[in-house]
Amino acid sequence: MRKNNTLVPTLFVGAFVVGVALVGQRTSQAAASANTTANATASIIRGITLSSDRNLDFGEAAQGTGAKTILPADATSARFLVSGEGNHAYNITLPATATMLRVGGTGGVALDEIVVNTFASAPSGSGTLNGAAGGAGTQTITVGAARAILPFNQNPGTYTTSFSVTVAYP
Amino acid sequence: MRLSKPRKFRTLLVVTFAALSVGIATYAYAVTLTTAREKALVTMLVMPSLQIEKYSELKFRSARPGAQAEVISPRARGGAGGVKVVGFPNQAYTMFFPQTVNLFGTNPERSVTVSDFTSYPEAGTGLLGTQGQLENKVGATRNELAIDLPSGVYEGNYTLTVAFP
Repeated sequence: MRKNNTLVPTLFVGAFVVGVALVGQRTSQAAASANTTANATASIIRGITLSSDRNLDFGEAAQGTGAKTILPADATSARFLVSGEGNHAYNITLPATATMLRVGGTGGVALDEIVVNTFASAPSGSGTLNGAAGGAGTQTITVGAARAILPFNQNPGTYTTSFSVTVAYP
Repeated sequence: MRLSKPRKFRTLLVVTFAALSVGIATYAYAVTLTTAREKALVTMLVMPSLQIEKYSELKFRSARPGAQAEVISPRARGGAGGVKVVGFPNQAYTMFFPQTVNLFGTNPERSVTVSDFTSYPEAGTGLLGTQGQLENKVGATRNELAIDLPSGVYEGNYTLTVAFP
């Protein structure tokens, strides 16, 4: 019983002390701070999108034919359309290599595969969307590449694969 | 309205989770808007190499020295040469003939000239059939024989070239 009698006053006093301390802290903070106003701004630009417009076509070639390069400016190069914020720069990322597989063929079998590499684009590396800032902008990217030499016993048929192009605001 | 402690805790958890979800979704949306990726196809057709197989010789009739020129039509029943071209179905090709070929007998200094090669189908660019094959008949003109041409058998080779256009 005695302990209970002393516990209540003790808690009360303790709470009072803590309360005073908190009030004092708040008071001291108020005295040591000052208010000011600053502007926060944000420019919201259009998101960047990419769509494929034309595939990369190496055409026809006979067994034993040498390597072939398609330049970005060639009519059979791949073509993409970039859309986004006008007058805004963007970066272009191309694949290092891709492997065409014969339709109906077996992956991993050399004579059913043709390696494509040396991808190149126009514009190269980066571009700038046309149009004015604040408005919509677009730009066309063309992509070329090189295919490997065809061995004399390369299996005849149609070869295909897909490759990815990435565009990104810096 | 006062909530009990467990309900307060649950409410706090729900609010925190919702805020976190909105944050993650916003970040993902922002990443999507600043980056775009698209695929395109790269394709090609590999055709088998063209092959030519001879199945009949171009053969002129016997003639006497001083005989007039003899023309063998590619559509002639006898004498016309024949080759079979094998490739890819409906494959385009271009055919070339020599300008002139000399036939020689035992005397290497005397020859018979053959020229004006023709073919059926005609030389130039054409298409192989749906089976990827084409039989081609070859004709030519044996020029007039010299009056003092030694008798004997005169032979020579001609080269027919078929290539992708």
